[in-house]
Order: sequence, then C-alpha cells, then structure tokens
Amino acid sequence: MTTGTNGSWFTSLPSCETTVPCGNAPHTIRWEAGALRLLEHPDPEGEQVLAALGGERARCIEVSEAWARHVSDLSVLAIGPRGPDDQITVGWDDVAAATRTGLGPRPAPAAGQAGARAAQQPARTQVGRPGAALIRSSARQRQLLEAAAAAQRRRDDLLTLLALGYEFQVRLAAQVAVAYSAPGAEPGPPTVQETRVQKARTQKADVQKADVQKADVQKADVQKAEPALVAAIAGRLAPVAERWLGIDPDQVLVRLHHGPGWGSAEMSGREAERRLRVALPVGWLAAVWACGLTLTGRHLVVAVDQPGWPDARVLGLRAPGAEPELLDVHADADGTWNVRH
Amino acid sequence: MNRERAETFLRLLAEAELREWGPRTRAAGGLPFVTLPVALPRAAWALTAVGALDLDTAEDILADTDLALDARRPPVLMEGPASGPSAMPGPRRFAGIRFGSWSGRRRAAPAAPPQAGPDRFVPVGQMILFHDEVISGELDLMSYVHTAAGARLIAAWQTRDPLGSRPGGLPPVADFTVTDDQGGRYELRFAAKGRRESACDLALRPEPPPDIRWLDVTAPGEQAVRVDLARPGSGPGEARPGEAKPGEPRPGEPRPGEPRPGEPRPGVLSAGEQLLHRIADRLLTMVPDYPPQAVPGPLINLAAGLGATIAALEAAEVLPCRSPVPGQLAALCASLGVGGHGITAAPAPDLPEPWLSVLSHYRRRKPETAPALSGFAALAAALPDFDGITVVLLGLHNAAGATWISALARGRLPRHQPGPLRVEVAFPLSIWIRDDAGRWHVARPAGWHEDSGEAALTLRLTPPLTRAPDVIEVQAAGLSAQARAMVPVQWGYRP
Repeated sequence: MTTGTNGSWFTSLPSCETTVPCGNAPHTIRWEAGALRLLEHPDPEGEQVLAALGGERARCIEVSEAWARHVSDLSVLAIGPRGPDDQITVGWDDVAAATRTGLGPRPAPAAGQAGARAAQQPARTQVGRPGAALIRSSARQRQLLEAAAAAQRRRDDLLTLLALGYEFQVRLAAQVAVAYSAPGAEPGPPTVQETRVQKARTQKADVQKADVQKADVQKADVQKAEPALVAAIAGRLAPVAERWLGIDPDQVLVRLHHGPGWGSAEMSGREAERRLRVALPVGWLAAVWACGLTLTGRHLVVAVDQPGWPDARVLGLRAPGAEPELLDVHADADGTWNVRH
Repeated sequence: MNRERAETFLRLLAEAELREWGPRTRAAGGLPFVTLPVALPRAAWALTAVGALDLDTAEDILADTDLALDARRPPVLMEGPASGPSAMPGPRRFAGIRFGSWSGRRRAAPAAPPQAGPDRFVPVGQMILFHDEVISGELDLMSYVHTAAGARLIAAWQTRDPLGSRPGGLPPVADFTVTDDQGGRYELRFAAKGRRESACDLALRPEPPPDIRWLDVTAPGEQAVRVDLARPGSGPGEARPGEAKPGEPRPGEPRPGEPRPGEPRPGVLSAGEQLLHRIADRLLTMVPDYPPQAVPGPLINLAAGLGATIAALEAAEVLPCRSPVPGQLAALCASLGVGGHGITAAPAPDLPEPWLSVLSHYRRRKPETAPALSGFAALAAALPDFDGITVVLLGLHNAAGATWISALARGRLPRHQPGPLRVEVAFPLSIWIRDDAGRWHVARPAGWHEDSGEAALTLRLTPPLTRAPDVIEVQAAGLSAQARAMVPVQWGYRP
C-alpha cells in the first residue's frame, strides 16, 4: 500500500524501515520514495474493506490510514521533532495505553453490525415522546460524544505516527511542508543562475495558466498557515543557527520567503541586540531540514540544487550575508552529509 | 490590531517554551508531571481577550504544545519492588486531546438583537417588614426592572429565624400580595439568580403591563407599602441623569486626551492597556484576602506570565510600545511584593490614583476599624455599551462586612470557558466607584447568572463602602472605550 507522493522532494532521503506490533507479530513498514509500504500486507485495500465490515483492523493498516490523514496537518510540525537531538519518547506501549484509556466511544459500528447488536438488546420500555428540550439535550450530548471520539482518534493518530520513530517523523513533516509549498516552488531547488540574478521563471502561457489557478488556492492556504509555518521553520532553524554561529536561539528571527530565489540571511546588532534574520521558503523544511542537510561543512544549507542520495548538490552559506556557494555533498552510511572536496 | 503577528507570536512562544522545557525539567529533577508553562496560556488568554486571536486557534496551539511536551517526557520508572535496574516504566499521561468542541466550550454569545420589551429600570429604595410564626425580617427593595425577560424587583433581605425551622431562612414572599394601579394582582417568585449575600430577584407573575405606575406590596399581617414606579428611571441607549456616555466627560472633567496626572486616561487607553488594567483590578481585589506580611500564592500565580502577556499584546499591536501601563503594573507588583512576573519595563514612579487609593486603604490604614455597616440603596444607572455589553446598575447593599452591587448585563455576554487549557474569558469590564470622600473602590464580579439573554450580575466592592454617599462616581471601561458618570444613590437604609 502506498500513500500519495508530492514529487521529488524525497530524492535526497534514503528509504527507512521500522517494525510495528501488528497482531501477534512485529511487522515491517517501509518508507520509500515518498510512500509507505506495508511489507506484510500485500492487499491492504482488501483488508480495509474487511475492517469496514466489522473485521479486526490490523495495526499496520491503522498506521497507514493515520499517515494519510495527517499529510497536510500542521500539528505534525508543531508536535514532531525539531532535530536529531530532540528526543521524542513515545513508544508502542504508550500508544496502546493511551488508546485503552481513551475518553470517548469508538466510532459507531457499521449498519449491519449495529443491527445485529440491536437484536441482542432487550426491548426498551416505551416512555412516551420526549419533549423538544430533551431532544435538543440528547442531540447536544451525541454531538459532544462524537467530538470526543474524534478528538481521541486524532490524538491516537498523532501518537501512532510519533511511535514510528525519528526517521518516519521527519519524512511526514516534510510531506506536510510540501503540501504548503507553492506550486513551482516545491523544494525544488532554484538554480544557481536563478539565485544570482533573482529572475522569475518563464513558462509557456498555457502551463502558466494552469499553475496560476492552482497557486491561487494554495496561496490562500499558505497565507492562513503562515504563522504555523514560520514557527515550524524557526523551531528547527534556531538550534542549527546556534551550532552554526553560537547565537542564542531566541535571537533568530524567521519569516517566510515567497517567490524566486532561496531567500536571505542577515545578521545585525551586537550582544543582547544581536539578531539573525532569515527568510526561507516552506520547502526548505522538506528539501533541506528533513534530509539532514541543514549544517553541512560549516555551511548553512539554504537550498538544494540537485537532490540525490547519497550525492547531492546544495547551496550553502558560509556566513550570514554571504553569497551562497554551490557545494557537492555526500552522505555517509550513518546519514551524515559531508562536503566533497 | 495585527492578528497574523498575534498568532505568530504565540506559536514562536510555544517553540521557545518547548526549547527550554528540557533543561527546565532536568533542573526540576525530572518531575514527571511538569505542566504547560504558564506564560503560554496567559499570552493566549490575553490575545483572545482582545480579539487578536480566535479561541479555536489559541486552544489548538496550546493542545499541540501540551502533546509535544508529553511526547518528550522521559518515561518514569516505578518505585517499589521492581525499582532499581529492573524498574518498569510507569504510566504516561497524554493531555493533548483537542477539547475544543467536545468540552462544550462556549463562546461569547453573538450580540442579540434587541428584543421588544419595556426596558424599565426604576430606583425604589423601600423596606418591607415581615413576620410570621417562625421568621421575621425585612425585604429591602432596591429597584424595579421590566425587560423582555420579565418584570421583577431587585431586593436584599435579612431574616431572623430563631428556631431555624425554615431552610435557608428565605423570606416568605409567596405569602405576599402585590397589586398595581390598574387592578392587577401578582405573585412574587423568589430567585437567587447567583446573587450573593442575601440578594435576590423577585419575579412578578403574571407579567404586568409596561406602564404601571405603582405597586402595593403587602406582607402577611402588615400594612401595604406603595412602591412608586412613576419616578424617572433610565434605559440603555438613552442619556439620562445618572447615566454615563462613552468619552463624554462631565463639566469640569478633562476632555479625552487630557488625563489627570497619574490617572487612567479616559478614551485614550488602547485595548491592551485596558486589559492590563483589568489584571491590575484583579490583583487589587485580592489584596484584602491576605495579610500584608506575606506574599500569597494566588497573587504570585496571577502575576506569573505578565511579561509574556505584555509582549503578546505588543506583538498584536494593541499595546503601544511606549505605554506607561506595563511600568505601572510592575510598580503595583513591587508594592505587593510580587516577583517572577517577567515584566521587563521599569517600575513606574507613579501609580494611577484609584490603585493608590486601594493600596493605601489596605496597607496604610486599619481597614478593620471601620467595617461596612448594613444598609441598602437604590440605583438605576445604565452604563453605555462597551464592546457590545450593556450593564445596568440596580442596587447597592452592605452585608457581612462587604458592599455588593446588583446589576444586569445584556448583549454580547462573556461565557465561561470550561476547557482544560485555561483560556478563559473573564468578566470583560473594569468598573470603579469613587465615594464622596474621594476614595476609590474596585468592583469584582462575584456572581453571574444567565437567563433569557440577560445576566444577573453581582459585583463586590473592594474595599467596601464605609460611608453613605448620596452620589457616587462610576468609572467603567471595556476594551474599546471608557466612561465616567455621577450616579445618585437613594438610600433606603443608611449604614
């Protein structure tokens, strides 16, 4: 089974695997080329149909469904890891415990199931028609219970996704970031030439028309999500900047970069007034941060020119305000990127 | 107001809190249940209170932060037989469920269209004595109110029930007879409506016509007491004697933009400054509850996170960066000995006169030597509409050493937010009273009961009135406006 992909942002990410307690055995889930694969479930769609009819739902299937539900959920960025040193300690035991101690009821059973269950219930005494106030109260109560169930499912989803581990968490975060990237700016690296002359791309009129229409929709979403995206970048860039320049993370100011080019990075002030002002596109989260490229060879990587694994070409800043340099980088077996000389 | 900057500020504050949480938890010895940092919900509350951030977004941010903190909490090893190298991880708590809609969270009601109703508010100020076999006492009628929600008398009462045979010692109003000038007869129905210290609403059933001129109220075995309803009252939306209008100073008062030195400035405070004034009000109303020798926890808790609150209001552009109010708040905290508030502004050299008045009462005088004596007075003053809320002052009485104002609130009423994330919308107005000796008294909401689109509101004055002024000055403020008015007080019984 696979989930949808969003293009080539994942080219600089190797595949990864984890084991999930599914039924009575550990099952392997693999992320590969932007998609989840359930190795022990050759027919996940068939299993989903069976589950909808009342059969037991496999944990692997639940994981896959949760992943699909949250590929554009900004909470993934707010809750997920900020970097490799950010230890998230949620395990499968925690997921099981949280699911057991939930607040609300499970979603209503399918119609056939409900009918069968109703047949086993004793007949209820007729007590007359309820008044309007009672009906309103009952509707309100039902609404609250449904909302409680939805809230619990959402929390269980997020815990499940966290339990997959760091490698999966950053890949999901990248997918969320891609969902909020403007079309054409998908981590899709600006070329060196573009960076230098800051010129807009030219496209054929018919293609442009289609993209503009798509961009209008996405632009509205991105605008609404801009505070969350700014915080997502700031929360991940600030610790990197601390390692890069020794600056206090609270002194890193981030804004979203829109349009061509990679953005900007400028330093101002001294001591307590020192500020690093950085503008980056949302796609930086997917193309750079999720791939572990943020600080490579003492350069802050601001964009990827040619994605790939284990070799890629990136744009890196030696210092704030400097012209970005084109760097050929290579990933070690442990995932650490180094500049090739 | 800049809503995008407001949300960005809160999210960046959450990032900073998350960054600092690890070291702070380690410094606290790895406590398993370190809770959400206080600065974050306080900033969220401030931003929602001024309307810079909607409640859903604020609670989403808090819920995500809560879950993010939980997800980073190290498992706790259980003490006991399994402790030591083979100790088992203990149960974990995950609090990040979005309770937004499930908790029954209620927002401020939309401004209700004005219902057709008589809207009569008539000061009364008359006492009715009663007694039967087991109970005796007095019913102090403060005002008559007739709105779309019905007609009622706002009253206080005192009873003497030596045998204690009647639960609660309530006045036997069901035995009273009530008639009007048009030959109508009515029952009185007692309703506490959340009012405090022996105050109540006495509903008239059936509903009388809107133009009755008087009521005769007769307790069993007593002579009828005529309640004159023909005297002038006031209704919201009309300027009448004793009624305040926003931004309109009374003769001799400074015009808007011309503040008295050290006083809140009518008409020129920003929404953020008004909110900080409300926090100051709250701090001041807590002063009498604690001895001056010690700094109590509730005061420290209330002041915690004020620095983040101020920064949030500045980010949302509802608090000017050169506002004097943060410095005044810092000075107030210093006067109360409260630290840890995080306000970066230097304490201001001068405090607003009302704050100084309350501080002087409790910290320099001996308040216990002049207790408030029993008494009651009629009021009928409609304050102007503040942020969609209209408050009508209906009565004032002293009981149990405290002064209470019975009032009615209508319009865009704030409602309790029972969510677990503590984004609560408090009473949204600041109300101060100045007596005839120039002493200020801050009104704190002590009761709030919603019914038929109106709320019976009870305010408690800090400090209580120890005099019986014939006129009080009422200073009221919402987030968008401030008004002052001189309100006549008709004492039914002077303390």
